[in-house]
Amino acid sequence: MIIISPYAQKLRNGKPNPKNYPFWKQVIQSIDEEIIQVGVEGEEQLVDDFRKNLSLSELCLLLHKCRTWVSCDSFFQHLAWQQEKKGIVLWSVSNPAIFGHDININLLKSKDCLAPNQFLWWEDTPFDPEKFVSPEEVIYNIKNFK
Amino acid sequence: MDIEQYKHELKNNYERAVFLKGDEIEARETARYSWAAKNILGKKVLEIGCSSGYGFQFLGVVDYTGIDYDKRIIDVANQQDWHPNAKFFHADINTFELEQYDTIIAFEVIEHLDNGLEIIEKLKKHCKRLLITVPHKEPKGFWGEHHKLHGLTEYNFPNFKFNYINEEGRISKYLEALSNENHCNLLIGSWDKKETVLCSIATRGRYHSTLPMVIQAILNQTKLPDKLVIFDDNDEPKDLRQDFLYAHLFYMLDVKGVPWEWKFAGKKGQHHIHQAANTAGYDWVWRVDDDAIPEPNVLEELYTYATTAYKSESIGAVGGSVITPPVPLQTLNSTGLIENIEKEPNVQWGMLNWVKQVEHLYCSFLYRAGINDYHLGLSRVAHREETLFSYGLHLKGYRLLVIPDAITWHLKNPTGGIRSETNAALYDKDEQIFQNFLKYKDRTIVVLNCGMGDHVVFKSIINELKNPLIFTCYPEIVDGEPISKAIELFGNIDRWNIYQKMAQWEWTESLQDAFRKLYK
Repeated sequence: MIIISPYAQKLRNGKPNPKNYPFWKQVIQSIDEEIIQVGVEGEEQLVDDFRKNLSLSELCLLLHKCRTWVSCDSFFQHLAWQQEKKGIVLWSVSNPAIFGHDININLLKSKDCLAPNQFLWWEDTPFDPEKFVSPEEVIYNIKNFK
Repeated sequence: MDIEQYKHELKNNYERAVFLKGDEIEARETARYSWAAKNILGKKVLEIGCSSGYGFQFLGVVDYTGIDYDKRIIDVANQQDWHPNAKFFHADINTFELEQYDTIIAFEVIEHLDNGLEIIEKLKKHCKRLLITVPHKEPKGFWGEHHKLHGLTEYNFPNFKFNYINEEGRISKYLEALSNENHCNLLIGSWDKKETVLCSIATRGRYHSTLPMVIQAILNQTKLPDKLVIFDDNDEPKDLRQDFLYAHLFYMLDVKGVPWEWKFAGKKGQHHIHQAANTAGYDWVWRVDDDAIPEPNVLEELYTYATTAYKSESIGAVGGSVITPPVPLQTLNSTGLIENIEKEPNVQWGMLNWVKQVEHLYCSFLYRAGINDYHLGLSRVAHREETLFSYGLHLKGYRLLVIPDAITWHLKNPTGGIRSETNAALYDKDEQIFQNFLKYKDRTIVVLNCGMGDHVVFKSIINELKNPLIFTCYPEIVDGEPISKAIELFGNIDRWNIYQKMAQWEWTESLQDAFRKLYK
């Protein structure tokens, strides 16, 4: 079983979060394995099993049961790191060298995609699907994850 | 392979000194590494051309990285198992990704490189101190084909301080004559990054009373600051360039080569002004009040102590006497401890005969910039700001010194002043914040006004903190008091905003290490 945590926190200005991976559907279509989506109320449902508003202990329990997990740069990747559960993080404008954890597979398309100022509110950074790795690269990493 | 043959080969026809663990080290090598040990600044050390790493054993336990262009010698260095703190890498200095080091050592390396003098300039950008040896005035071909630069003298290395080392390893200020016993002397020298000083004056209501006296006193310093900035916090700021008195003061600053800037401040309180100076990119800030007249030697004395005293890297601030005429107070018995602040005269109010370490400073002093914040949560009167700021440096593990022979005359001009605000409620609020800091002075105050993920990362370092008092947004992740309580106790809590801090530090390392830097 794989957990996906597709979305970062909603922005206060209602715009799409520039950290949200845009190609989830392509990735999901190519994964022949049970997928559980975790998130909060109001987020788009991508798989049949969408578990919303789980408590920390429920999330931890799920983490320990999964083969791996895939997330954008959000709370989830920090929680998984705390639980010493290795996974895959899909980066774009935020810097994995600052906000990531070495135990994970951190997929960043290019350092050129990083926002010049990493410490402002993300509302100030436009969403750009070109700044993410391709679905093929994500699929490859999920399938070959050890 | 026979070890002697192996060492001989590695020595590369005597072009490389190679000693293994337990070997007796030649006199010249011993002398120069012993000299290095005495002259090392800080703990993080890089050695270029480290050979088998034998130099490390002279240097004491430091965070040491040795590099050499020859992979075989690096393999030998790693086999010696010198110390866990000593790491060795096969690398070419032209392509090696340099970090920032306290000290870089390059002993008899520069002459081996066609671009050796360019490399010196590159190394200077990555260290506070650079230690080198090179052959002195070596004729071309004297030591074979391996040397690319010849005839090097002191003039090739401006701003280095040099001694000479003869073939027997004797280090002297004087060059020893060449002879059959002494074929070539080495230059042995050190270069220190020049630390810059910004002089900052916050002023209000004193255009034509004590402020010009202060500027004149700055002009008369035996060591001039690298820049003077005057923060004008007057209600109706004026352009004084045409004013007779100021026109001449500005002229003298220009003639003496002191860059100056007159900035109109925002009447938000002098802690905002000081924070602007604190983060202006200088190594040190000399804060001077607009009615505090330093004698001509003050900056030189403060700077000399700050940068050359024993373990100067741990000095956070240095102040002198700040005397209010007519009579200095008797403060020789004052402790300078924060807990005694209400019980004794401030150490700086009197004349000292010796250097005293204290926990807080007053009025005017020289401080290491960018270490602590002036985001102190105070109102615009900023009552107690210098005490809280300097005490914060102490809490971060830096030493605060009060030194003799550096006198500033505090005229306490009754008119004007940066704290001319009369609202007693603001003073009371600031005093309460100050008292709360004193109350929790033995706790590490942690304010987690940040996201859930940040809380998770912070939690990983919680056990490294001394007696933490935590205020939290997500008690289910990190237990603690609510954020509103932190605001009630300490006013503005921006000083603990990890994102503001990382932006201020131009942070490139991990979030976890940023929390460590903020709270340890």
